[in-house]
Amino acid sequence: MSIRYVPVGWSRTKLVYDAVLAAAVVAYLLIYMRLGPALQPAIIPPDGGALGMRAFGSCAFLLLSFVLCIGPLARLDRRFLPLLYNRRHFGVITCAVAAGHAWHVLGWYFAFSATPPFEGMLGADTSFGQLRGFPFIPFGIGALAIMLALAVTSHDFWLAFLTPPVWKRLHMAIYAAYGLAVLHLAMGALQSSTNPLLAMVVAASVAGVCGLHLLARSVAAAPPPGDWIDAGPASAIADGRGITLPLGGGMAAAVFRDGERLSAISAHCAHQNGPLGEGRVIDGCITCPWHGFQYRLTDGCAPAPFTERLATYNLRLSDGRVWLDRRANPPGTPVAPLELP
Amino acid sequence: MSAPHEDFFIGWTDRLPPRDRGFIARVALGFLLAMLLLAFGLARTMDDSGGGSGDWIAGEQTFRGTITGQPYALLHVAPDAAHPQGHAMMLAMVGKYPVVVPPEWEGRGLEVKGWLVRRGALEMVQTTAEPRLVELPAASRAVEKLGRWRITGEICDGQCYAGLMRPGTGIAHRACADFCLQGGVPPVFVATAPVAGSSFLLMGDPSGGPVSAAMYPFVGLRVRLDGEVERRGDMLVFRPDFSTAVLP
Repeated sequence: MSIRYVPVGWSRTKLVYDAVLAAAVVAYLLIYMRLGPALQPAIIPPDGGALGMRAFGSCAFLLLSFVLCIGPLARLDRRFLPLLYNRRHFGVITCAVAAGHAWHVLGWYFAFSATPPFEGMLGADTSFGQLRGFPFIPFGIGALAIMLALAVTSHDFWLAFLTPPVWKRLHMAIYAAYGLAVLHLAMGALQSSTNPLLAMVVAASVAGVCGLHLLARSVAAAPPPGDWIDAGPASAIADGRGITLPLGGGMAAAVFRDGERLSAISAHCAHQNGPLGEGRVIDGCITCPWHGFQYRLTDGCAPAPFTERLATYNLRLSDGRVWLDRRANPPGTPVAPLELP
Repeated sequence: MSAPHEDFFIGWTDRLPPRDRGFIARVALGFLLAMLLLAFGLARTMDDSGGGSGDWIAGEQTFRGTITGQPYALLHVAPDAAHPQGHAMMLAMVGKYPVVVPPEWEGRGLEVKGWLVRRGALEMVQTTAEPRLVELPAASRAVEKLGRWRITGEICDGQCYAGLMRPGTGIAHRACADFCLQGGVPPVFVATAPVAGSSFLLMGDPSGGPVSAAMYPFVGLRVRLDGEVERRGDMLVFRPDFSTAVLP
């Protein structure tokens, strides 16, 4: 956590994370563009420009698929959480590789003309009235435009400037970018290629991304009716940990145990809507599993000098079971912890 | 019970939980291996891009022949051992530009300098300098009508198909082909089966001039077209009627 903005708050784990990503990207491009064609002497490979387009394009699609799997994987298995912490770097690198694909397209297919390359790309194929041969490039432009917007606004400055709910909603557009990228491939490269491996990779990617998201979503239960919700026996909440209670309408509360005291606050971190209920009580504060943002148990406020505040909830104990009042208190409202007998 | 820090990752503390280090290392290794295998697999199974290529080793060459401008610039060079009927070469300027033939040049001798690109018997000269008129013996420009044909194939731009780009065909290349054709590069029809001995045909409009904009929706697609075919030297010219177009 920091209260000042720096371009990148480098740490050893971030450097290792980025180094692994960079190594994967460089190795992928070198193998695709140099080694693969050399090992296939029976065929005439594409020219350098087309090879670059394919290498960068396929690499960007695979990176996008992997990065979209991190969120649900972290929900299903907390050991994936360290991958999520630096996910924004993953996104920015993916965007850079996608931009490399566009650069190859503009510099090869739409160069060598008095018409500016971007104008040429937009105006060359306008057969929007037909399904066969429907222009696929606009799908790719749309995906890249979204990724560029998300990469530019990925910094914490924009998170604070736009406010977390708006920022989160904006960055959910990555799923639209993924859909456009799939359409770009399906209407373009997959129509031209007789290679089944590319189609299999795209199909596996779509199945993996959708399947993991559906699986992670199925973990969250539907909220019961009534103002007071049964949170289960107090003994079921481990010391220093919490449970998440869905409240309906996309909202959820997190009930945490700190010794013999229970407290409840919103389960959505003010930073990036991280799942606070999967966090821990550390140094007397609930700590978000995504980026380590912290909140006091008693009032949902981040410790000074931070200013984030979350809604708190009232709890009561009945026959050994904990009950939560789903009617949230205003953010930062102090609530006395529920003392366990 | 372990302390909360020991099995809970907090990014800003810059410490991976000890018991998760092995797991994260295996995930990182698996990710790297997956990327390497996918790169290798996708590159190893890519389609053959066809035999078009430029004669870059020969460098800029000079060609002389009789010029005709319709439907597109063709340089008819004199018969030789390899081309007993004479040989027609398509012309385009370096870049996505046509070679414009003024009416007064029609049928006259012309010298062009440029790069030769070739795919099978299809040859195109990418001119690098302004062509100049030269005195040459009068050459036959006879046109042999081959009648009306129904042909299935793909409309490509002659420049990329001949070898300036590989593969230069297919939907993935469609926008580039459109861009070339809009610039004035001659279109060729690549037939799925040879027509009168040739698998490619220069395209033209039934009216005699360049192909109309009716062609664009079908570029890069497998399409069936009806139209007149004629032979000019060793070059076939296909003048399709796009109202007959069928996407099989």
